[in-house]
Amino acid sequence: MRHLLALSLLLSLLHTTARAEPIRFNAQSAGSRVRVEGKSNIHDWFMEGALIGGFLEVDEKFPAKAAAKPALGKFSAKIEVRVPIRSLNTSGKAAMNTVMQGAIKMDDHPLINFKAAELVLKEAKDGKLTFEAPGKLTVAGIAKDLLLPVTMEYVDGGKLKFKGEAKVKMTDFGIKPPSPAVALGLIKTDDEVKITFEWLAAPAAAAK
Amino acid sequence: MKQYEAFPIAADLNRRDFIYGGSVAALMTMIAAKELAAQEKSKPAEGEAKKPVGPPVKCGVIGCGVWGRDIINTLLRLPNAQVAAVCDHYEAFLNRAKSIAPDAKGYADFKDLLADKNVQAVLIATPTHQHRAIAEAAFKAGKHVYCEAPIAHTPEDGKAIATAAKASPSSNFQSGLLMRSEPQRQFLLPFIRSGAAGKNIKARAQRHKKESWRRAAANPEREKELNWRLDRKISTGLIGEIGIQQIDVLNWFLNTKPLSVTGFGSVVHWADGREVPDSIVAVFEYPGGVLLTYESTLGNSFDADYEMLYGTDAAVMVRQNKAWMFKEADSPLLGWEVYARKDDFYKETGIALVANATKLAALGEKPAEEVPFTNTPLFHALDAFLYNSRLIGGAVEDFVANFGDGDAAALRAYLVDFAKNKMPAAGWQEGYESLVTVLKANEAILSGKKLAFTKELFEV
Repeated sequence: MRHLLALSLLLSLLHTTARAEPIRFNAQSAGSRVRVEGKSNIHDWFMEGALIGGFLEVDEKFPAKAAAKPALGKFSAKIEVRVPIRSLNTSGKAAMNTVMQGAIKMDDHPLINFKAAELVLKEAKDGKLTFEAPGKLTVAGIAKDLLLPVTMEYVDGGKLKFKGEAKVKMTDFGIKPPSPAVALGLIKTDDEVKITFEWLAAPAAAAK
Repeated sequence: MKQYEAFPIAADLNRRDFIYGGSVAALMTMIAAKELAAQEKSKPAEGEAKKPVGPPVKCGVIGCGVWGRDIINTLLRLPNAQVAAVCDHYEAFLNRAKSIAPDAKGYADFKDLLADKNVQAVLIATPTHQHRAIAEAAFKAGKHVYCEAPIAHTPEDGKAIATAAKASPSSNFQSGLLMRSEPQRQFLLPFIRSGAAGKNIKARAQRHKKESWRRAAANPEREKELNWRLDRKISTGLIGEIGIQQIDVLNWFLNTKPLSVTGFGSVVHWADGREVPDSIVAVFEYPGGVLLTYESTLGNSFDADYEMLYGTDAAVMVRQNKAWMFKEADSPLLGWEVYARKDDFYKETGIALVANATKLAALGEKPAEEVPFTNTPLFHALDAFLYNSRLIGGAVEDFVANFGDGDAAALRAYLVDFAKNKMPAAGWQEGYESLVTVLKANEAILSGKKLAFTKELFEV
């Protein structure tokens, strides 16, 4: 009888563990986009890329599938997103790429990372869910807290598409706004930049 | 021996020499012009490429003759290059290359160099007919490939190389059409394409240099091997080995492909038993009746090499790293040319074509008096090759690190899209199209016939 009880407890524990297995969504190799826009005394500039790696892990409470009315509030999640700096190309092509890669200290810190441990659902309307993701953005090796507003949409194949934008200051990450010399003098780059992104993730089993 | 020797006078002439100096300048003073020149004030000091972020590209140079050693010397000036290996089956050439790049590993067999995992990119500077075997093996070895122009000596070999390059998006391929990366031509392209010179009427290019092309060797076997350009069976002739650079530029500017070519060639001066003409003329016909005349000789150096493009409103002359516009009396005022520097050429006035001339004029600044592009076309071409190789190599690494290497189609799609960020350079398509253009022209020169280009000829 005691053996049966022990077995029953073990099975119950295993079942609980199995239920706690996170649902994982992996980054897709196509369908993502990131763009960093800034201003200078000469002209506006940007750098952009199409490679966003990483994953999202959520539990079964997370509205990973379209529901009539998902509950608002906090969802535990593990989000790790990364962008290789050399995948970003600037509006100024090769010469500006070199300037920006140097400014962001790519040799020492080749990735831009964003990590978060929860998603807070603020609004659900017409199949579009609006979250806030309190997390840490790491650029040039310096991590800063960032409350990232994102929207989530359901895409065919159980995929999720996240979109968002944030404004950050280069100096917050120890980056001196580049001021390369050109024919007409020095370019003075504004400290603030706007980051916009679209990130496509698919259930791990279906990830491609 | 390749195209670098087609532009030897460029390094020796400055503008003053050009106008007031010797025999070349004497002709130029017979004509007056506005100089068309891009500016590089934002670029580093002459001879120094900007230090890149990241490690240099480890290069292996295959073929260490005169041109191969020029490539090695140029790579040594570029901070984004490391000469990791050199290869030549001829020991004396290999030793000379090793003396230039003592840290490089020496190989007698190109297969051994390609097996060297340390080598990321190979630069093929062997005789033209040897390119195919090396290039195909290099793609299989996963190397980035720079292949001298012409990329091959037959359309079949050229198509094989282009096909292999097209099928290998993880490898950056560049054909050695130097002017595609040259800043002055880059600056001129939108100017000409915008119609600033009016409707294209005709074009002309020449390359004059008194040299025999024959080289001395220690024994008959080596003499035959060394003088492959004089072997009619494998040589692409003057128009293939040298003229391809200028013809490619003019086709690029004209933005079209030729319909036919008529050629003439003869051995006039170097009557040493050779069968490859030392003097040639080729006339290409384009849609709308536009004609391009190319002529070249090894018997006289007068007036060296230049390209001309004649439009209904102006003629544009490009000489090495400088360009001028000669306007027609009834041509519309562009505006900026009022402020541009003018040079006198005999009875004509040339307007210097300088990038940013309009902005500089508005700011009350004078364009640079001397054109700052004094780096060789080879320097710019290799700079682009190294940058693009790092770009593509990095893109492959980043993709595989994030998504694995199991989906070749997805990687290919990513790389094809990513390739739009490359520095301007001639790829497999430009290399192949230029090759078949000059091979057909060489055939016309050798036969004295008018030959037609078919659409299929240009397809890979």
